[in-house]
Amino acid sequence: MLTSILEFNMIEKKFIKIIKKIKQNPSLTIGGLWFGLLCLAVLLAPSLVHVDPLTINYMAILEPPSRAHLMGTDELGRDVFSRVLYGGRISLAIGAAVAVLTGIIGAAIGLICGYFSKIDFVLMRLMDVLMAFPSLLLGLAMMAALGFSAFNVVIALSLAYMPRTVRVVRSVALATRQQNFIEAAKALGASTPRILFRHMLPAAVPVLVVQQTFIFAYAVLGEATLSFAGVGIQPPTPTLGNIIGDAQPFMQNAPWIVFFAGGVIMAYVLFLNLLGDGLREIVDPKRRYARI
Amino acid sequence: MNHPPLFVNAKMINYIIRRLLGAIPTWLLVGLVAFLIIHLTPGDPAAVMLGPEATHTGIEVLRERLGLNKPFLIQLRDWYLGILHGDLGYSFFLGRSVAAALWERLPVTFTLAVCAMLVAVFIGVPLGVIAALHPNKLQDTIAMGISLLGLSVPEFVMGLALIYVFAVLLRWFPAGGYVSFTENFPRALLHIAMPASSLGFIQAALIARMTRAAMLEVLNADFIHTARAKGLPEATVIWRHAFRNAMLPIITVIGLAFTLLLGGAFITEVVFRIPGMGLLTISAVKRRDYPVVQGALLILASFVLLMNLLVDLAYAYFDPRIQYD
Repeated sequence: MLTSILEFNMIEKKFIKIIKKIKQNPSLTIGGLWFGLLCLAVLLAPSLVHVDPLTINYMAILEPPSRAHLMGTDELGRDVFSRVLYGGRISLAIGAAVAVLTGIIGAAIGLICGYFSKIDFVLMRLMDVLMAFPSLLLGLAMMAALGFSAFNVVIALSLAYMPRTVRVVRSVALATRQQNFIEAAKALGASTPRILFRHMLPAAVPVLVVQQTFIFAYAVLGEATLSFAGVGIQPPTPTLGNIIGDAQPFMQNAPWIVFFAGGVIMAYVLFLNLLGDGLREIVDPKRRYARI
Repeated sequence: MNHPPLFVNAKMINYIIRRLLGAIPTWLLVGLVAFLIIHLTPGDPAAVMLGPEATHTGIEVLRERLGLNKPFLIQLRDWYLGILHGDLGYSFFLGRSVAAALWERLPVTFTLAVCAMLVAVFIGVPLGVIAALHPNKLQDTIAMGISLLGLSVPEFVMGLALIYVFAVLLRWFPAGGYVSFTENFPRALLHIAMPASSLGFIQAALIARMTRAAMLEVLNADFIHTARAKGLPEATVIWRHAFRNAMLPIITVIGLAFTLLLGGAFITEVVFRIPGMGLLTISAVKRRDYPVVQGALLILASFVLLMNLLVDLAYAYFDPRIQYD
């Protein structure tokens, strides 16, 4: 009885501590909460809107926002709200895919670079080469090479953003390698993969999570930019970028399409950035707001 | 702090030469990446370029003209030799040499990038300094809030919003187009104002954040406490002692921002219909006009490498502590 009360007290104290930490960190709360809500909205898109995003209606072209069409209609009479929700799904899926892909491959390369100094020299020169290309331009060139599809957008953006993950993980790995517990693990006969993934990776996870949150944000922007320029995902499939690209010629008569879709992209990226800033504050409070 | 003396001794020359030599392999690899773009294409690049209605002979002729029938290593050799002769290939869509087409548009993109950089530095640096002087206070929150906004708005949305407000509603600025500064200075300024602001504001966000971090680090240093303890006026402490020492990381981030800016300029050119390298390259991507894409990739990456080199040299010059070995 007594122990369970004590335990309960302990849990309560821990809980209060967590609440306190979150209260001190509004970036994390606001960013996380709103990003979560946005994710929920696009995931529930089919039950939120009953208009198909591809249904063309020539009787309702470029209509301003109304009760029937919350964000108005576009030049083909398609419901903008529905297109933004379904487009948001694709943007989100691509952003997440890029964040996960660069996270896995980038972390692996970063750990290897940080651990093996000979491979490090070669791989880091390669990363320097990739970093020499403005990421948007590298994305564009990859799209020209591979062709325009969602899968290729993920590949192109992952290649463009991967060096950032590699750099961050590598710098942690370089510092961790010097520590005693790695020496101890070696002395105990731990295999190299075990040292890399059981001992060095956990040290890198916090900064990796922060970095991947930012890459998620960059990737949402990158996808929107490629699609806006007409070299990403092709119409009629709606994405936040190509909705704006299609609406640009009608800006004078129907500015709301650009503003709604643009506002949604901004909201996504803003809340992701806030979330990243909040996580950074916990992981590395000294480097608040700084980033690569 | 006195100005670093303009000394160029043997050690520094040695450093510059080694840094230049070190850049050559990187540059060769950059060339390789640009070269590989056409070879990454699944299937036959010539067939992709000509589209679904291409004839067999048409594809064969294009393959021959692009040199795709030669062995891979010979193609690579020809590509590097071409670069050395200023020959980046021929665009059949444009009907002219790639180098000439890009070279003609380079000044436009460069003007846009430089103007945007000025906007970015003039907004970003003061914002970062203000934030650093009042950490975690209202000023900091506002400055970093503006910066967060800049990091979150896509370039093209920013550009379109500016067009809507200042060109469509207020009619203060033209909605697009480009006038060269040598042709008509006031009109050029009018045309470049909106594109440069939309592009610059976004980079200002990044510069503000790095300036804040750099300033904070310096402001906590012992010599700042000493300067204050000596009774120096606060402005002297901030600008002469702190800011000058925070310059190095700021220069680095400005160098880095220039890379991002060149990439961003491409989209800004699309939004404002500025006939620069970006507009050319993006239409080339749509047409799968590989030689133009490859040429643009090579030229911009070379610029970035050059910028990195200059940043490194600036570092060595401004910080005498840096050992040149």
